[in-house]
Amino acid sequence: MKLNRLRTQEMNMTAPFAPQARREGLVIEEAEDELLVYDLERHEAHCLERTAALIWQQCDGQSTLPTLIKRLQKQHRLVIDEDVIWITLRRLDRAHLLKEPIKAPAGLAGRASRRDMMRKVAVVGGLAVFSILAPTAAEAASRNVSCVHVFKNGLPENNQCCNGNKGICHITSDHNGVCGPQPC
Amino acid sequence: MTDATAVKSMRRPATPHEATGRLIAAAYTQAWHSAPPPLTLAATELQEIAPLLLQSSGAALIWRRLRSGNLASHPAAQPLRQAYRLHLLQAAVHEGEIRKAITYLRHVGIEPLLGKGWAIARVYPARGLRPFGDIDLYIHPQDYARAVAAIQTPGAPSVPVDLHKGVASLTDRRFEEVYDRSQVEALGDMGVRILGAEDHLRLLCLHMLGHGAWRPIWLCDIAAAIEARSDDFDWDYFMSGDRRRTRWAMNAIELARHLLNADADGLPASARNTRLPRWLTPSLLQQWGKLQIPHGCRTGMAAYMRDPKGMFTALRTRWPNPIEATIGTGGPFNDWPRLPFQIGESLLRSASFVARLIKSARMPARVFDAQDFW
Repeated sequence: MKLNRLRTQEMNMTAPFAPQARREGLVIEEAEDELLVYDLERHEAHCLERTAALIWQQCDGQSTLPTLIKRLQKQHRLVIDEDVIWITLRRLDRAHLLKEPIKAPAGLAGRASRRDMMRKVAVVGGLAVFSILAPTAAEAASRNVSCVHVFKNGLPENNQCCNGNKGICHITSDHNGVCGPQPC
Repeated sequence: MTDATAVKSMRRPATPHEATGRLIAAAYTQAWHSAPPPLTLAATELQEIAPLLLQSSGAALIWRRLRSGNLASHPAAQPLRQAYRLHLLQAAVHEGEIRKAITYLRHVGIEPLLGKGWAIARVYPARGLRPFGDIDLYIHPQDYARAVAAIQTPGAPSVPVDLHKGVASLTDRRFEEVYDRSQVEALGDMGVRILGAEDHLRLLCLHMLGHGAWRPIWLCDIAAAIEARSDDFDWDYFMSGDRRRTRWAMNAIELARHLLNADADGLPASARNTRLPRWLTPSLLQQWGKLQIPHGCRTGMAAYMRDPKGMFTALRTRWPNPIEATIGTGGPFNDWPRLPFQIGESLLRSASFVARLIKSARMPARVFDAQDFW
């Protein structure tokens, strides 16, 4: 049993790396040449620019990096190398959009200077993966941050902490609860 | 000439807030159309109204008007774009929540009616343009207690549901009649029962006015609902019921025509002849032009019993705008001054607050309860 586990680990270590995109617990929407992803577990929203989105969508857990590169070139006429893929994977990983955390190869940093890397990224373009933060005023006005949600079932409690949301619950004159500005 | 210049030329604004309100109106003009006219604002004008657009949940709509113009890359436009991205994702999440809530209520034998929120957002040309959060479900008064009990059980889905006993704004109609006129619309793979077009439009009009019309997107909703109505829209039914409420609703429609250029072709003659009272448009623009939310986050009045210094500010933020004061006191939309209605509404709220305070004081171990808001 122990021997089997060791053998499996050994095989995994030697198996070629095939990144796998996370699919569970995500809501995905396309908009204006971008891919928008909402993480239902972390309640975080991310925006993937076009190239980053294409790379992410190709991460099926089966395809190795050379395969990914060939496929992206064939299907999307995207000319990229492994360094660019690794940079994108690192960004996707930071956004928790890969099934397993990745470890970039030790030699990656030594292969090219940071400036060269950034130049490559700029030439390819569309590799950004960034978080979408609620614009403050919209958040303040939005009933999405509602104590009804926090305290569940239409019974908000005045002046109680708004759990995940900052602030305390205020009951409005129409008997709804809204997370207010005062910190808990 | 920019859109703002066109609106500015209407009449000289009485206050800076009203002038800003006009910019907002210009930004929302026909913004709900599938091919909205490009928005031609000056950069300074965009900077001025961007926070207000964000606050009033109309950022995504306005971003759509901006994105093909020269202001698309302006820093003030970026939060609007960000809001659009977020609203698009939230729409998908909230649609899932609606499905959960309705499936759960159906499981316990209750068929709710959905209004506002998704029920109106679906009329807009793309997802995410009209954000929505709370799920407003209208329940037959006989089923209400059962629905509340069901949704409070531990196994109930944790979704932001607002259960309504009947339809408060439509109490001049029987719930059965409203239910019979409801329609089932597809939400993914399930059917969702929403209010009939006539009842929904009336509800949207009365809801907007009842809340002082502080969100311009509510007027867009009315405009979008008018333009999306089918040929068999029953205007006679829409105008039936309490005559004063009907007149309020007709004023709301006229506001959508007048301020947002809603296409109200085919309106019955009685509706086309609605004349807006002199105070209504300036009040609305004044409201849109300032950041204050009449029914927003406020500290309970009871808190000021311990800290009377803040009482004056608290009273000022609670001063009702002429629209909500008229609706709150059941007043007519005529040219008479609004001050008596505003005073009347304040007195009504004060009386209600005092009554609640007395009631709370009599309750042991809970001097200030959840209803301390005025």
